[in-house]
Amino acid sequence: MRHATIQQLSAFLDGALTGVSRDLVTRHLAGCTSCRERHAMWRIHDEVLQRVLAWEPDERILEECSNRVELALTAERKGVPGPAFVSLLESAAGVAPSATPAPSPPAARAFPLPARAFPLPAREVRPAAPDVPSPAHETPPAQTTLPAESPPAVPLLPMAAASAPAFTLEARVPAALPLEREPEALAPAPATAPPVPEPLPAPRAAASAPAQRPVHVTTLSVTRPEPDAAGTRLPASLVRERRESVERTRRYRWVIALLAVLVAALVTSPFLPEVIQIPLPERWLPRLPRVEFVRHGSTPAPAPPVAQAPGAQNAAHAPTEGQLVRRPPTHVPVAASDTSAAASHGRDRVTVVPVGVRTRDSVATAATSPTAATSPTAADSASEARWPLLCGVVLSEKGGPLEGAQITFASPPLTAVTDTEGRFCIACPAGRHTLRVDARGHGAVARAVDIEGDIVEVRITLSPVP
Amino acid sequence: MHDPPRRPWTEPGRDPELALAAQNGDLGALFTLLRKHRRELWRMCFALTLDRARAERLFHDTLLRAAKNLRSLPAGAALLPWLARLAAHLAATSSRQDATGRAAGPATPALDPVVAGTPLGDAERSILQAFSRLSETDRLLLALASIERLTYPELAAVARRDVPAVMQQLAVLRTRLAGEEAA
Repeated sequence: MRHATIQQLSAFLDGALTGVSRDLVTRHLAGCTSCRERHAMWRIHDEVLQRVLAWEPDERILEECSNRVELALTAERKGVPGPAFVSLLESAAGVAPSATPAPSPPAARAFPLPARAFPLPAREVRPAAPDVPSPAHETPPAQTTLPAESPPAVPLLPMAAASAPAFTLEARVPAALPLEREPEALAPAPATAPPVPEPLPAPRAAASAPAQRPVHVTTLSVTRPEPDAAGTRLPASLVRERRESVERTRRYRWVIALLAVLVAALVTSPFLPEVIQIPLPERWLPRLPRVEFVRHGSTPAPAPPVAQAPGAQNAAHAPTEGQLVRRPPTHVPVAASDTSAAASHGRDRVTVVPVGVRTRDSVATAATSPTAATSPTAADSASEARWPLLCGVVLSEKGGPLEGAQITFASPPLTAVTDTEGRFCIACPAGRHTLRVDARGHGAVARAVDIEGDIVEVRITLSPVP
Repeated sequence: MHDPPRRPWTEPGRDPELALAAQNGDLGALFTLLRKHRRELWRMCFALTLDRARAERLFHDTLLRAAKNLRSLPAGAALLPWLARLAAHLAATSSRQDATGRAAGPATPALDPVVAGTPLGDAERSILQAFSRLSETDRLLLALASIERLTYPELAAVARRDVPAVMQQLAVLRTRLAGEEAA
């Protein structure tokens, strides 16, 4: 006969077979004694394991176990050592059954025996000498000799629920002092003792006086931390430490940044060149704004710089209203003369303030200068004061102003230099003149100009030297 | 599989959500998560140790280790199979340490005569002795099938193996258990 495989029997035992497979195994077991015995043995094993191993402790014990784990985790989170592990089941084994018995597990139903029919063997407790305190590791557990009504070594206090904000764990440990116990109560049970032990002696407190045995009570409160802004529950100490750390970092961030820069400079200094050259544009010059002092009510009008003919600065003239005024060179206090002139005339007039113009006085020789034959007299100065102005701008090919370009008149010998905007202005007698414009880096240009009227404007473009 | 299987072994429920909150520092979520499966975990610890005191210690150590290594829980997975595997691992480590210290130390204590709070007959004691000689992983699988009444697919999911392998292993384990008892 072909027997059923162990896989078939195991699956049949677990109820995993259905339909034809289950019918086949059922019919085979009906006719095969060997397989039927094996199946019966496996079923017994299964039932015993289910009956015995499905035992659960009292709900109170489970709660205490959970609280102990939570206490250890909380203590670890706070950085303090957690409580030492003390078996609750071993402690509870020496005391009477709890007032609220645990629900009967399947094993208890299978073996309905009294709870104290098979007690654990009594522990041997040796009392210490009256004058010598017992060491801690020899402290006898109180639960081995406590009466049934006494609390266990670790009392099972009502703990807070999981959602409660806090809970407290209280541990009562007998002090390492001489125990005041009756010698009979500490003696081990005789070998001929019946299975059911004698009832434990009544507590001393109930007999006569209050209990004299010292007990160390250790209370550890665990507070559930408040949720932070992110909704995460963190211990208050941890939140405080984080806040202080952030404050310290914020307070010293400038010092830290400065130190970082110094360290970076020290580290990179061997790799830096000895001289650092910063190329600047060729025409780059720092400029300062001009300062004007004008009288209240008068409006300063910008004017091009004025170049003067030789001896013109000595001319004493009285400007009239609406007439352009030539000013002396820049070292003369212009504003002061304006104000004095305005004060002398007592009315407003156009003010020309030459700024940034360098004038150059050329001394003409007798052969070239038409005025050299006569000395600079008041008549000459008066005639020069009536010369028209030739103003213009000197530009490069790209349209940019050329500063420092020199404008020279052959007759009379006058010279002017352009300012930063390439502008120049020079007074010269009316008529046809040839002016020569020369700038550095550009070719010189000679140009004939007809000067008529009061002001003549020209525009000169220079090409760079190839 | 006469009784309906216990769902916590295969249905994660709120486990991933609580585990994520616990990983972010929420102690309340961590405590809720650990309390949620304490009965099933206790049964597994007791099946792995066959002793009340050692089961209590294993229960304690497993929960502490789970709280510390919660980040290794697979995302979206149920906590209970992970806890059971962790308990089996810790029990195997403890057994190895006991076997190492047994050579120079005292003899291994005998099987608790009151395993489940009730005395054991000779037959029960013999079966439990044979059961105790199995490895922790085998004990866990057999306990899941016998006590928790998980189906083969659920057993395969918890043990992280395929269904035929679980069927084969259960059959072999039952044969070995019978052989150990007869010996």
